[in-house]
Amino acid sequence: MTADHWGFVAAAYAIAALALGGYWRRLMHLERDLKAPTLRGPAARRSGMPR
Amino acid sequence: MLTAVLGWLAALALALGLVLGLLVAPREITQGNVQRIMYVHVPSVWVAYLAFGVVFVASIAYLWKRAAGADRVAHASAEVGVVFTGITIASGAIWGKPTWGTWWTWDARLTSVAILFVMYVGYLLVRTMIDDPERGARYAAVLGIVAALDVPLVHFSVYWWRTLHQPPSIVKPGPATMPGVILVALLVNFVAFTILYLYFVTKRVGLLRAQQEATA
Repeated sequence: MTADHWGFVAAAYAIAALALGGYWRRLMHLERDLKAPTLRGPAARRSGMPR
Repeated sequence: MLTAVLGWLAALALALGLVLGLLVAPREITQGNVQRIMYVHVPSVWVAYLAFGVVFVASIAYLWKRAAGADRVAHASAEVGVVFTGITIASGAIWGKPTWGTWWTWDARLTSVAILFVMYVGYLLVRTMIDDPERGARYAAVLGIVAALDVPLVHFSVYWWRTLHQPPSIVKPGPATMPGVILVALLVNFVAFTILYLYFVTKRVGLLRAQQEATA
């Protein structure tokens, strides 16, 4: 009877989940960055944000 | 709205595909349970083919009409295609070790997929390396068209050369030879991965449009 190698199955599914989840997170970060209001002028000076 | 619907549909379809692939589909008689990697590996390469086919068409449309929308679709599709090609290569290597006794071999199928991956990573690099966006889009479109020519080479490599890799399981001449439950599980995963691709691409296209509007 063939060995089942469940560890290999788990590794393949885990890598797929990590890659897809990682890409999804990247999209969410990009979206959050785009939605974040850009501080300019006096507001940026008050916050100490580099301009 | 469409993107959110696609996202939820993808999540549901992936969950169903996972249950079918890991719990419902029977243990394969010659390879054992390691064959369940097929439910990730084969749909991933299908989505990679689809993604680079879309890059090919959108790149031609961009060079012809100079439509920014076509360039955004090509860019988004290439990015998602690279992710799925990476999954194809990684899952294939993990499947190869217990069945072939090696993680990697320079056979025609594996080598042509590796070339495809490198070419589309290069495509994405070209976009980031060229400062003028219009020129970057033009160069990327040419590269996107040339690189897509590797897709038929990948698919037919198992017929044209003697390889360690098995022939295609579904997209092949003649009727399907798989047992019904395995075929259904595989097809559900095909649909799930395709919906996920559509979700990623629509989301990325929207973000690229927003980025371009913000910098204009």
